[in-house]
Formats: sequence, structure tokens, C-alpha cells
Amino acid sequence: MAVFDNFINMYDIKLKPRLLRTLIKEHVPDEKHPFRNPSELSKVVSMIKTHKLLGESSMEATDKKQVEIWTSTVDAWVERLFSLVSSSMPDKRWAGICLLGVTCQECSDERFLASYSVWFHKLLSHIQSPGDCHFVKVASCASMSDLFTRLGGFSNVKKEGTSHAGKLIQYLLQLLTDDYSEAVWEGAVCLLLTIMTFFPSSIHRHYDSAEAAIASKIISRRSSVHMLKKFSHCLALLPKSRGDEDSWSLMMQKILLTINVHLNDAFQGLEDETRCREAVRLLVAPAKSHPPPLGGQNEASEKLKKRSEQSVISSISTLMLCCSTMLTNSYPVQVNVPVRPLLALIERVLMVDGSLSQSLLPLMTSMQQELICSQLPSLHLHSLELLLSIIKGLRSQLLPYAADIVRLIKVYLKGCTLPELRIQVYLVIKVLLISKGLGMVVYFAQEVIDNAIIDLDSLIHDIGNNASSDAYRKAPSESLLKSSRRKRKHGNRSGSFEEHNDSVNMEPEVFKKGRTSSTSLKIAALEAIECLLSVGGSLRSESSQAGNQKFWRSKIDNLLMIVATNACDGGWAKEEKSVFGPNEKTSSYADLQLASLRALLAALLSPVVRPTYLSQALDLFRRGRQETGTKLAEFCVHALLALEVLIHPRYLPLVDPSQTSINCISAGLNFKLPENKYSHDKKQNPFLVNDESWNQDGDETDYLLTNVEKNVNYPENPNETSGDPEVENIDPTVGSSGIKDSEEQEQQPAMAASDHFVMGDNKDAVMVDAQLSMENSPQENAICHSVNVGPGRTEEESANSEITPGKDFRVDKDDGLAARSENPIIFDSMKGKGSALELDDEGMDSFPDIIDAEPDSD
Amino acid sequence: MELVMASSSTVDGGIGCWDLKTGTERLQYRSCASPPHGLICVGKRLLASSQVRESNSSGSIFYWSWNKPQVEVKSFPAESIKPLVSNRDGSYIIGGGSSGYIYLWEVAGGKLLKKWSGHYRAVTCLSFSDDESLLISGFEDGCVRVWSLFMIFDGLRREEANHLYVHSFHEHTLRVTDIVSFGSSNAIIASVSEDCTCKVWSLSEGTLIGNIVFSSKVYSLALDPSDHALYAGCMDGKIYIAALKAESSRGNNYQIHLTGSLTDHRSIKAVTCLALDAYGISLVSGSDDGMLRVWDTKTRNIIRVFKHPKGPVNNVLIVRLPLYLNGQMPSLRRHGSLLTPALEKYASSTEENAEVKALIAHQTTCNRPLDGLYHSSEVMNDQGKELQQQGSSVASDMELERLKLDCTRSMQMVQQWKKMYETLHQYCVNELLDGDLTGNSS
Repeated sequence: MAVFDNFINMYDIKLKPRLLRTLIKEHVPDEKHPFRNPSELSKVVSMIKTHKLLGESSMEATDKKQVEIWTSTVDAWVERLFSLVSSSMPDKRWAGICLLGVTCQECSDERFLASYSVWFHKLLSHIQSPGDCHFVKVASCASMSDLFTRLGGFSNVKKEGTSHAGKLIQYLLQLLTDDYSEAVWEGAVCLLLTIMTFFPSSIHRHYDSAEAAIASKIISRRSSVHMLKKFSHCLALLPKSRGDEDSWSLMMQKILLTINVHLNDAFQGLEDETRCREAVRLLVAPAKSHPPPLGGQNEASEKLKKRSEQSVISSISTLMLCCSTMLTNSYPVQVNVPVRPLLALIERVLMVDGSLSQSLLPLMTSMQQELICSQLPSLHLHSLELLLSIIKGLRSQLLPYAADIVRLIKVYLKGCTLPELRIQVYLVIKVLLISKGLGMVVYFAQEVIDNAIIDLDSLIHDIGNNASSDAYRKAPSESLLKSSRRKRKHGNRSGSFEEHNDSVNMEPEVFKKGRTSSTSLKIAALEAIECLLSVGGSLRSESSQAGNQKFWRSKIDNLLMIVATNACDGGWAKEEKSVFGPNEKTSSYADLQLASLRALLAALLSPVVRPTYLSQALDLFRRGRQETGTKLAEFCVHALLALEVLIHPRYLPLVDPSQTSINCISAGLNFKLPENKYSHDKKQNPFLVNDESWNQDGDETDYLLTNVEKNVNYPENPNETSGDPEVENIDPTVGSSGIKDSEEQEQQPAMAASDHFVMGDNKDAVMVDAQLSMENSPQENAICHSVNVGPGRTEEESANSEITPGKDFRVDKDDGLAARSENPIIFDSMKGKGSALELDDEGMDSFPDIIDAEPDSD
Repeated sequence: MELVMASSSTVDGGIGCWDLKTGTERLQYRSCASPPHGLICVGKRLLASSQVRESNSSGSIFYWSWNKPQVEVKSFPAESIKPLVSNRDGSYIIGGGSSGYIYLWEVAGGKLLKKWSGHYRAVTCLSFSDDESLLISGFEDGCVRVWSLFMIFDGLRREEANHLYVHSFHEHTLRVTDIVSFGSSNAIIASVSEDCTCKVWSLSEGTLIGNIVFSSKVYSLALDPSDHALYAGCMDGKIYIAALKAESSRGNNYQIHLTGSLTDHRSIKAVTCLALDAYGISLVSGSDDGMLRVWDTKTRNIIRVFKHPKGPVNNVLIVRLPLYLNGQMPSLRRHGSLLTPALEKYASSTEENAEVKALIAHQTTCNRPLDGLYHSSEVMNDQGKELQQQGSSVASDMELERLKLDCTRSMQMVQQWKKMYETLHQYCVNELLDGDLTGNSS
């Protein structure tokens, strides 16, 4: 080749064969020279992958000659690999096998289909032969797995693939049963998994021996946790090879029975005997016989007694993991899930907290207890994971069991203090809330809030680095906690699960003191609240506590604002994790800031009439947006977009009298306004009669409300129902003057909260106007209202004030009557909610002012 | 693709089926005489309809599978069931009885999971809230009740609470004819009644927030969430349109305007049922004159008319079939399950022993190989590292084998050299001897 036969650029197709040739010549070992540097191979592989050296074709139309050169080079490459694979030196054999695996992944479709059978036999011989060293066996399993993965992608060779895989299975199972090192087992299991995924029917003939091999690995408990996970996954996928309902159910039943048998040993002396009998009774119908034990061996249970408690627990966890996988993986046919036994198992585990059962004589030494207690958290964690999988797997079919699950979680959460477990419980709650919606919020709201307050404690009390301006924070957060404590006690007294939780009745106060929860726990708590707000922010917490609904909302809004402010006060944390930091997933402070902002956004978007802390929140989001290149900035941009609808003047309440009156009333319910801003006596406010929290907790939201200034005047004693359908005597001019008066912020009788039921048979063309009807009986305890856009208004308030003049419209008597006679449809306003203004298309024309304010009505 | 299904109350009226886009008529399902709100599609797997039967004391509910005109499964509940509703997954069917009882069956096993008394008058319509956790029922006397399904299944709570329902509204004075809800967290319910009104309630607050009075009895209702428009099909043959506009994006209050009507002047028969397609563009109305009209909601024109073969239409459904079916009706057996069992008449008495069937649905998973699944290069890298460190026993194993081979090779080499040496030696000796011999001789 000419020395100056240069390439166009690095994409040139000519480069590829040349590069490959260089690799073969210089980097791939050959028969003659000793192979010294295995890391050389990684470079070869990365080179092949980056430049797609084995692709043999490229996008651009190129001349045939180049392609031919390339093909012949790849031929040479494969030649070399073959010679390596059959080399007598084990390290070269190993290199050849590894590179063959990469070739399976990288080569062109045509080449793969033409030669996969040859490659399969080359690899098979190494898996088969007992003499080969472990290293070579592991590599052959990995390469074989890649071969089947690639083969699985072709739909036209399913049959051949299955027959090839069938030849392999028995050797694989041999590898698993023989006493090889863990690395070989891992390779074999990975290969088995690949085959199960792509060619499940090939295992059909070896089903029982496969089950026995894997189950014995799990039960013998000589493997590491990492390996156990893989075994459990393999066992879970095994029924797929048969693909019928029975094998799935049988497998599930066997696993559950095995878990329960193991639990009997582990929990001896820790729980009542009845519970374990109950668990087994649920699993096996009285008329039926026990299924054969998992894996078919009977001696397993005898062996197990000799092993230590520690390993019992680890194999229970593994089997639970197996159940989870079975529940969440798809299965070719519909199967019957034994939900009740699964839930009984979870409850059985979660209810054991390591305390000795009182009814029994102590059968356990303190050392045994110590052992089991050290292992219990991981067992609980796995049960919670299993619970999560049940929720995921059953989807809507969870309904009959939902209440039981909720009760279980509530009881568990009360006693649970370990952060890792609490995080998992929050996760379960989150999934439940999302999947089950409003109905679930009714059950969980109080629990989530109470527990989140405990977990976010340090953030609420964290006054921040600059204590100067934040003195006001302390008071509200304290009152917040006080009220939560009071609430919880109240909840306990009337709680339905009082009788259940005698044993776990640990008051949260016990661990409240001085406990600083971990960052990830705080994040989990915030996420749970976020979820609660997004799913059911507007729902009452309990139907019986009608008045308290607004209370929990305002409390949570308040809490989230404090948390977000405190979390983000000390500046933004760095997101990048240190190169030298721990590898495992730990949550950084940046994640906490993000979570607090997410929850805050949910609070703002979740429907209330007007978000209380909009301006402070906007400020936070705007500051966050400046942190270029972080996830936080990304989220802040999203938040600002989502809040756009609240900021933009177009979306502010439309200004017409009925609407503003509605705003005032609902504002009174939602906002705890500073006392001195009120011109009326709260106690006489009939809208707040049920809201017992008003007087006790009204102060807690006050401090952040200083720039949301509104004057709301409530009537002395408003009308309950003064339905007055007689609209003939209306004097519209009084109505318009009433509106004018309200603009002048005078206390005026404004509107009757009236009920109009106009029956269907009343065909009269009657028009009911809020203003007209309210003026009809001004002395009848009408509600008086006025809105004052105060001097300390925020920007959206001022936007509001720009529209305020739009309020000023008058109802012309003639127009109103004309519209009335034309319109066969009667609009009616309902009690306490103000009135709807009845306007049909023609009617609209007579109110030009409204059209301005109401962009959608034209 | 979207299909329009319509059924009628006349005996043996059948279920008509049309393609909404093309207007072509599809398979007709036979022997169906449904009451209003009696026709549902269960999880896109089958059609179910309650039946109007005069004489018998028990009610009946029929199933059809997509590709067969005959009734596939017949169930006979304890009493006459009129309205039906099913959740999106198709795992439950809820029916309202004429005695006011509400029945909840699971579809997979046919079990009657719950039966509770809703009211003392007949149930006329049923509807789910958006998240399917709440059930809204309308009754003959105008009562509207909201139920939390969790509460229904929660024995302990049931005992505590003095009533089962979450809300009970009594503002309607005559039979409730249709109920629709939308919105998740701050949802509203709209109900129409023969008392000529449509009432709008806040689901979370449990209060009445709006009322529209019409000039004639209202039989059907459809809500278009994107437009905030409400369509009410009335007895006078008109469909009135009211705008449900939130006063702000987060307000609890809706101002209601009537913005017009959809009218077909050729017909003055009552509009009995309405259905909106997923995009909110086509509105299908069924009428007492046996016609189905497809309206374009933007232009308010009729774009298509179907005629039901028999009698007045009282149910209309729009069923959207997933694209991967390619217009083929999904058959039950494709998913490997056998016939769906009939719904049970009575709840099994031994409740604790009865295992409720819960199924893991078959999901169509994508089987395309992913790069993450290949792991030989990763294994190779790990092993390469191990080899270099020579720390692990496995690596030393291989090293040992290699050294052994090296050793044997060296031995062979030694042997070879020895042989060579010996040959050379022999040669030299021979040479010497030969030389001596020749020297001697010479």
C-alpha cells in the first residue's frame, strides 16, 4: 500500500479495514508470540466499537472494491480468532473467546447469520469440556450469551436458536450443580437468563432440573448476596419457559411455602404460633395436598436447621425478591395471583420487631435475638419491596385489598424509625397515592403530613445561616409542630387501629428529639407530600372532619414554603458528585433542594383559589434558574412555565361582581389573613363556624401573608337560603349602584346567597341576575363584600388592579329584560357560591366591559 | 381507529357498529335490548350490556367478544340491573339495580365482590371519577351519591362511619339521567335530570357550584375537557352547548354560559345519548328516531349519519382500538385466557376463603435486543484486570496452566537439544573414528 495513500477524514470507509488490519497485526495475540498484556484487548474492543470496524458496510454508497477489502479483512479477523480459540495456551484461548463474543455483537447481520452455528459449536466445546480452566469457561458463557442475545433479535431463526439452546442447557445445569467457583456460576446463570429471555421453550425439557439446581443454590446459601439476586431472577423467569398458568402458580406457591417454613425457624419465639399456621393455611387449601418442596429435595429443610440465622434471613430475602420479580414481570398468559397469602406473609414479617412474644416462655438467647435483630431491617426492606411489587403487579385489581394494605402501612409507620425503612414506606405510599388517586388521599393525608413533619423537622427549625431576617420563621414552625402533635393525639384517640398497635405504640415524640433525619429521608418525605398534593390537593382529609380540610392544606403550604426557603437559603449546592466519593447512590443536598422546590411547585399548582406564597416561590424559582447547567435550573424553568398561568394577568379572576364576591368568600375560607386586616369579627363569621382550627392556628400562616393584603368584609349574619325566584320586581339601578359602592369599599349589602330552583316546567323566560336578585331583598341578611387591593400588593395583585375597573358595568334595565325574553334557558345561581351571570350571545353584546375582561367569551 | 357502537332498547335490537372515520359498517352484535347506560366496553376486551327483560325476576347481563355476533356469556344477577360501568382496565363491572342496590363484580373470576344499598330508589346511572377511586351514582328520585370504593371494601371503616357515601346530593327533583365527571384533583361532576336542569358539583368540596336550567328534559350529557364545553342532549331533539369556564385556572367556581346548540331540523325526537371522541372533535348523538349523528364540534355541522337497524337508540359508545391491532378486533383467546366466566348471582358466603382472582395482565413487551444486554466485553475487561493483578485464584489457575504448558514446551526443547547434542556427538565421534581409520590406513 502506498505510503501516501491518505484518507479523506476519520469517517472514510478506507480507514476501517486498514485500522482492523493494524489491530490484527499489532494488538491481537497470535500463536507465535507470548501474550503478555490482557489490557491490550480492551483497547482493541473499544477501537472496534468506536469505529464500527466489523460493520462491513456503511451508510454512504461506496465502491465495491472497498467493501470487498473490508470483507476480506474481517475474514482474516475471524480466521485469527479461530486460531486463538483452538490454541493450546489458555490465555490465548481466553482472548479468542472474548473477542468472538464482541464479534457476535458487532459483526454484520449477514455474517452473523452465516456463521453463528460454527461459532456456537466453538464456544460450546469450551463450556462442555471439563478440563478447561474457570477463566475460559466464564468467558465462553459471556460470549455465548451475546450470541444468543444477537440471535434473539432475528425472528426468522427462532427454531434454530431454540434447538441450539436446547443442546446447551444440560451443560449449563452441570456447571451450576458442580462445585465451581462463583464466577462460573454467575456466567452460567447469566447465560441461562439470556436463553430464558429469548428462547424460553428450550428449557422446557429441563424444567425440573433447572428448578432444582437454582433452588438448591438459593437454599444452600453459600453464595454472595450479589449472586443470590441473579439466582432469584432466574428462578422467577423459569415458569416462562412453560408459559402456562399452572407452572406460575405452582412456583409461587412453592416459594411462599418455603419462605414461611424458613420464617417459622427464624421467628421462633418472636411471634405467635397462630400467625404462622394461619399463613400456611392460606397457602394450601385444606382439601389439597402440599406441593412438592421447592427444588424437589426434601433434605433441604433438615439441612437448614444447622445453618446460622443470618443465612436463613438472606435466603428468605432472596425468595421474596423472586416473588417480586414474578409479580412485576410480564407473563404470556394471565395468571392467578395469591394476593391474600402474599399480604399475610408481608404482614407477618413487618409485625415482628424483634421483641420477644409475651405469651411464650423465652426460647431465645440474647445472642440469638441480637442476630435476628441485626438482620430484621433487611427483611423488612424486602417485604416492603414485595408489597410495592404487589401494588405494581395488580394495578386496579388491588381494590379489595387496598384498605388492608393502608392499615398495615399506617401501623408500621408508627413504629418504624430506621431511615432506610421509612424511605421505603414513603415510596409505597407514593405509589399507592398515584395509582389509587383521590380515594387514597382520604386515607393517607393525615399520616403523610404528620410523619413528614417529623422527618422534615430539622429543615423546619433550621433558621438558616442568616438569622437576621428570618426571625419570623421560628414562631410559625413551632406552632406548626404544636398543632401537629395535638392533632395526632386527637387522631389516636379516635383512631380505628388503636387496638392493633398496642405493641408498636411508640409515640413519635420518642425519636423526635434531637433526631436529624438523613437527606434521603427528607427527600422521600417531600416526594410523598408532593404526591399527596398533586393527587388530591383539594380534597378534604376526612369526610367527618369537614372543617379541617382547608386546615391541612394551609398547613402544608406553609410547611413547604418554610422547607424550601430553608433548604435553598444557604445557596445552591453543587450537583456533581465527587470522583472520589462513595459509589453507591447517596442523595446530595442538591437533590434535597430540588425535591423541596418540586413539592413547593405542587403546592402552588394544586388547586386553591390563590396560592398564598406565590411571590416568594417565584423568587426562589427565579434564583434557581440562574444556576446554569444544573438539574435545578432545568426544573425551575419548568416551574416558571407551569406558574405562568398564575402570573399572567389574563388568567386572573375575571372581573365581574359575581366573581369577585366568590373570590372573597372562598378567600375567607382559604386564607388565614392577619387579624388586624379584618374589619369584622371572626367569631361571627358563619363561614368559619366549622373551622375549629381557625382560632387556634390562624396565626401560623400570618407571617408570610404580609404582602397579600386584602380586605375582606363579612356580613354580620348572612343569609342561608333566601331563595326568591320572583324576579319581576327587580330594580336594576339599585344593583348597579351596589356594585359601585363596593368599589368604594364601603360596607354594603351586596348579594344574597340565594338558592333558586327553577323547575323544568317553568317555561317562563326568566333571567336571574345576581345583582338584581340581591337587591331584591337587601335587608335580608345579605352578604357584603369588597375587595381592596392594598398598598403592599405584589405584582400579580397589581395586575389584578388593572382589571378592576372592568367591574364597573351597569345593567341596563331594557337590555336585561330583552335578553330575558329571548332566552329560553334560565341560569340560576347557587347558594353561597355567588351567581352565574346569564348571558347568551346576544346578551354579551350589551356588556362590552365584560368582553374586555373575558377573553374567552367572544 | 375509533368505532361507534350503539344499542337500542327494542327487543332484539342488537348492537350496531361503525367506523367513525370511514363510516363503514362493521359487525353487528345480536340479541341485545339494553336500558340507558347499559352498554359498556370492558377493558377493550369485550362488550357487555345489561338487558331489559320484563317478566323475569332476575336481571341479565350479556357479553360479546369482538369478533362474534352471538352472545358469548350470559349472566343472571339477582335482580334487574340497568346501568353498568367498568373501569379502564376492565377488571371490574359495577351495576345498579332497580332496588337501589349497587353490585360490584370482578370480571376475571366473575365474583360478586360487593353489594351495597345505594338508595331506596332504582339506580339510573353510574360513573367513575377520573382516577377511578370514586363512584358516582344517580337515582330515580334525583338523588346523586358519591362512593369511595376503598371505603366500600374497608370493613372497619364501614362500621365506624354512619353512612357509606362520601357525598349525597339531593338538589335534583326528578330522575337523574346522566352523570359525567372530569378533572383529577379538583374534579367536577355534572349531572342532568328530567327536571330540566344540569347541576355541576365540586367533587372535592362536595358542594353545588353551578346550575343550568334548560327548556326541556335533559337525557344525556357529554363534557369536553379541553374546551370546557358541556353538551346536553334534550327531549326536544336539540343538543345545547354550555361553556363551563373556570374563572381562573385554579378556581373552584365555574361560570356557565349557554353558547349555542346543535340542531338537526329534521328531527324533533329526543337525543338520548352522547359520546365524544378522544380528541373532542366528533360528538356522536343517538336519538329516539333511531339515527346516530356525528357532529363536528368546531363547525357544529353533522358530518355523518348512521341508522340503527332497529328502533330508538339509547346507548352510544366510542371505542378506541389500539393501533397495533391494525383494525383487527382483539380476540379473547389471543391472550391465552379462556372464556370470561359469567357474573355470579350471589356473593360467596365464606368470604375469607374465597380467593379473589387477581391477574397479571399480559403486556406486550418490546423484545428488541438492547446494547445493555451484551456483556462479553464487560466480562472481558473485568477478567483482564484480574489477570493483570494476578490476585484471584481463577487468574492464578490460568497462569498455572500456562506455566505448565510453558514448562512442557521447555522440556520438549531440552529433549530436542539433547537429541541434537547426541547426534552431533555421534557425528563427531564417527568423524574422529573415521579419520583415525583413514589415517591409520594411509
